[in-house]
Amino acid sequence: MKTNGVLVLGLTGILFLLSVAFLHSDSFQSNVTGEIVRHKRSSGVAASNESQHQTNASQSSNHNESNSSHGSSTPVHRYQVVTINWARVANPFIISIWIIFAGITKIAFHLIQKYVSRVPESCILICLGLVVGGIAYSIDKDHRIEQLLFNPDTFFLFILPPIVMEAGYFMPKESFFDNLGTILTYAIIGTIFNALCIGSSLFAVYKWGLMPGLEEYGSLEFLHCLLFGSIISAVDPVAVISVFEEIHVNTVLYICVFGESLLNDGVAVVLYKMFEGYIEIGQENIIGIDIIAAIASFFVVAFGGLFIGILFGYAGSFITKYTVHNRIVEPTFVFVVCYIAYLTAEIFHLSGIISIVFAAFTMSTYVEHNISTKSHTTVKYGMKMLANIAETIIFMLLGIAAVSDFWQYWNTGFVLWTLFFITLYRAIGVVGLTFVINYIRLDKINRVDQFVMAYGGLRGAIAFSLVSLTQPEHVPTIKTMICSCIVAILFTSFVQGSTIRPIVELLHVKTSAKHKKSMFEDVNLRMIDHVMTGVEDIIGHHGHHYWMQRLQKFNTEYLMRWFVRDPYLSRDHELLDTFHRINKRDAEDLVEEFERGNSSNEIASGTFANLLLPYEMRRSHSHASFNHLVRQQGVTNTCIDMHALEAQGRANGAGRTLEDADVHHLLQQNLYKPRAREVTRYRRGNIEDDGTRKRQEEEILIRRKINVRHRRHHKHKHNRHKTRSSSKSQMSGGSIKKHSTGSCSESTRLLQAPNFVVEQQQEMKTAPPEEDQGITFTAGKKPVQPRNGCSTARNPLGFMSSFDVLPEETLTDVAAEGVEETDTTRVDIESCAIDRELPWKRNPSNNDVVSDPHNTTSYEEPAPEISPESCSNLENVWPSNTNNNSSHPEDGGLHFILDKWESLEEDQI
Amino acid sequence: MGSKASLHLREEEIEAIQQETGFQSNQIIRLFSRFTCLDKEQNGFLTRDDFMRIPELAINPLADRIVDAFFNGGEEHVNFRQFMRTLANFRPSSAKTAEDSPNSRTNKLKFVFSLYDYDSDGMISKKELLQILKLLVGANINQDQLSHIAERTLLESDTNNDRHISFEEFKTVMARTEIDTKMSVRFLD
Repeated sequence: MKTNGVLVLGLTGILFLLSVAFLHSDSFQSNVTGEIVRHKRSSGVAASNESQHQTNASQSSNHNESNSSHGSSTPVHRYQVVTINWARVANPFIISIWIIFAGITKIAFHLIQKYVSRVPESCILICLGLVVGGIAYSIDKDHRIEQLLFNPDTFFLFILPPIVMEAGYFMPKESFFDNLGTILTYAIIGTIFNALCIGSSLFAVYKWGLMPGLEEYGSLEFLHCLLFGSIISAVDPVAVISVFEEIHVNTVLYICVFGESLLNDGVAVVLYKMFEGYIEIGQENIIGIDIIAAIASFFVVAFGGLFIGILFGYAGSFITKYTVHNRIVEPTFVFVVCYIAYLTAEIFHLSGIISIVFAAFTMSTYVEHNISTKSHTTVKYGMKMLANIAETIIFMLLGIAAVSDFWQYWNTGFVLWTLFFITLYRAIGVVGLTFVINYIRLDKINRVDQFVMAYGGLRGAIAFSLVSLTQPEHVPTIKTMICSCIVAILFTSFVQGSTIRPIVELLHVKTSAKHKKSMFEDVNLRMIDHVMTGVEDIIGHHGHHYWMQRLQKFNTEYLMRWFVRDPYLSRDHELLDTFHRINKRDAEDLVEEFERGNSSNEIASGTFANLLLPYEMRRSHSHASFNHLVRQQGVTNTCIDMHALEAQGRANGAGRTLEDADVHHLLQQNLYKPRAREVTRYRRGNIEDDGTRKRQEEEILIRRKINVRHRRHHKHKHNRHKTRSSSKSQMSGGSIKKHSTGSCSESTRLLQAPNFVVEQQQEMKTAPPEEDQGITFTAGKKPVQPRNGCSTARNPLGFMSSFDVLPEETLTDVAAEGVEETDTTRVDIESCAIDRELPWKRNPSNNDVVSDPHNTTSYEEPAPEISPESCSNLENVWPSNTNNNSSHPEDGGLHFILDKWESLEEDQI
Repeated sequence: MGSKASLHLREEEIEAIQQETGFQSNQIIRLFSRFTCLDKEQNGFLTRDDFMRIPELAINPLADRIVDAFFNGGEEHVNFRQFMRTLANFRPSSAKTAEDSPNSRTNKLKFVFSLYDYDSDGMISKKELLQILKLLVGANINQDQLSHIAERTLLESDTNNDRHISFEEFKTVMARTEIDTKMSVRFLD
């Protein structure tokens, strides 16, 4: 390990020297070119051959030689075997070298991490930058290199966007919205407070004569101090991200510091521009209108950025809605649309950071549903990669830029006072604002968290870029300010950045729950969410949750349908994908076990694969081993073997964790969403839409009804149930009468119940009742529109249809609950196509209806004949029920489903 | 609402509730007005129907269980005292909160545990777990999978291999979760 580290470091060193050499030559070249251009401009003689700028190989080996050769270039050129054209590729080449350099330094740090684990990466990168900068400074007397390397334009246009884009895209939405008020308070009020206080304090100290020697560099006015204060007050997102990612503090703390650092850009930019403008106007010429204009510009800058960001976010989402045939362009849209949002905001001098953060934020909500899994991965890794590289480059460039000639304007007083004030006012700001915020917050931000929040107020490259942008004509003491800014950055990065981790450990700051949640915990948390929603409903107080819900409703009812391709499809698609993945992995596991030859029936019967076997078969019939296995065992063994599971778990720890993850995923997908909190809970595939919500509510209601019925049945058994069910039956208004078999009276009564029940029945009756209830709804909610062919895997119903490609004996084997089940399964296969077209046409229990299994498409549906004795209000909604009255009265329609439901609930009570 | 004299809250009642639950008096008054609002028949107690009449609650998958928590011991009615006693579980807690006060971490956890523990034997069996899962999970997961999930969940939490989850085991599972924050509601003053 150690040698590896040394090797990589050596490699890094070589690369570094190489890059310095290239840099040098480049700066030299540009120097020469510049001279040539000047020469050309003045005399206009013989510059054409220079612009081509070809030197031969021998000359290029030594720059000095090359220099001399340029000076005395001969008019006649012989033909060259090898020519070198460095100037043409110089810039991209250097950039590439830098990126590789940055990447290798990252590798090197991880290899030597045990020695420097206490020091954050950003510090090491800055150090490295300082070294590179030092060497470059000593080589290059004209200081072109640092202008080439760290120029605010490059920084703002190319290096910063990827970082904030990544931050916005992967912003934890839930905690962001939960803490929005706190974040905004810190970002807006906190930053303004800091800027004004730092500025005025510095000026006061200056006036008191506590900064001796500053007058030599120029006059310092009040506005200059305020300008500097606004630059230095903003916490830097890049620095915060890099440091807080390494220490895993709790979510609230993280999102507060992180969100503040992202959103305070709007404020910082406004303040900067405002004071810059005031300086141009001149302190004595400022009138009231300027101040009003500045306040107005704050809203324009912040909300303008927000608006542009969201606009582009929606535009991007809308585009990705139609990329289904061009999957490859999907990631491009995500990246470029975000970037354009940033650039657009910059055009209008709005907050580019806010714009790109919200563009990415908006996009991640919708785009995730539209793009393919592969594109999703691409976007994810692309973002991370770009951000990481940009971050590395920023810190190195910061180090490089720190070595420059502005140090001769050093003023100890100014620098020290700056350090003192930024620390002081950060602390005061955080403590003061938290004091106010804590009155409103439910979970109070405690002292320790406040301390970490104040201590984590790192300054970074944005401040440096802004201060470098400031013109010396406006602020004569700007060089001193640059010094001070650099010192503040270095101080916060090095001292605070590297001590924050020990301090977090020392103070026992609640760290984030980075542990993988166990399944039980997951279930519990979801349960608690529901309970809390319920309790809020009971006490009738809607605050934060209420508005979130309104937003959510708006989103699902109006926005989703515009920006998401097909919420229904993608949901089921996702679900099936999960099934598929579980199955695939289990299949692999099984195959492995078979190959190892230690497979016992016991183990095999306990695996998840067996449970899901039917699905696997529906999806793919190529797994011969599965069929074999099934035949071996006769039926799918649905009971879980504890020992087998445990054995499996022990034998294959990694496999089990993976499986856990999938089960998690499955739960995540299918747990009912609590009403209020869900807005923040978007995840890929976790689509909430009008229909889903409605369905969920209906499901719950119908379950409750059945439950009530059930309780009445059992009231003679359990005393406890008695009281309950009586009250329940009151509640349901007596609409549900006694359970009676063999008639449709039950369903009739239910139909008289409120509307939603009817709707629900309509949905339910389309379902194949012999399936588990899980599939019931999945299938049932498919719209009635006809579709040709049921072979596509994307189709939520498709999996059923692929049954018929299976050998029939397998089917018989698959059927779990005996012959009858097998029959119905087969019916289901044949009729699924019809079912999709006209859901009520299918008679689940009447096998005679489906006469020819191979003629599904041309199958003619018999007109629903309504028996005269059937209730009239059932005619439209439930023909099948009346249809099969004669054959299997209790199996058809609602009755069957109710029975089914009841039997499901049976073991529940 | 609350025009009848019997429905007015007496000072000593407020004080007693304050003592018992830790609510502030204006919170109690506010909640009392909510209580009378829910009490459609104006008879001074709430029935299950009263709860279920709240439209948002009716669509809560756990509504039955939540309402059950208010009716301890299978009673038919819940009066304001009992109502407040249950709600006291959801008061925000702090480090200073006494262990035996209703809003302590343990009691919050106990509340959740009792939602699982349908037969109140102090243990969560697989059956009880499965019931909750069924309530929580949409109809998209079939029985077998759900059963499998329940099995797995039980397995990972059951440390003493008795096929049941005791409260201690439950506590261990939830040890790293911020129950205090999650299970707190801001009661308006």
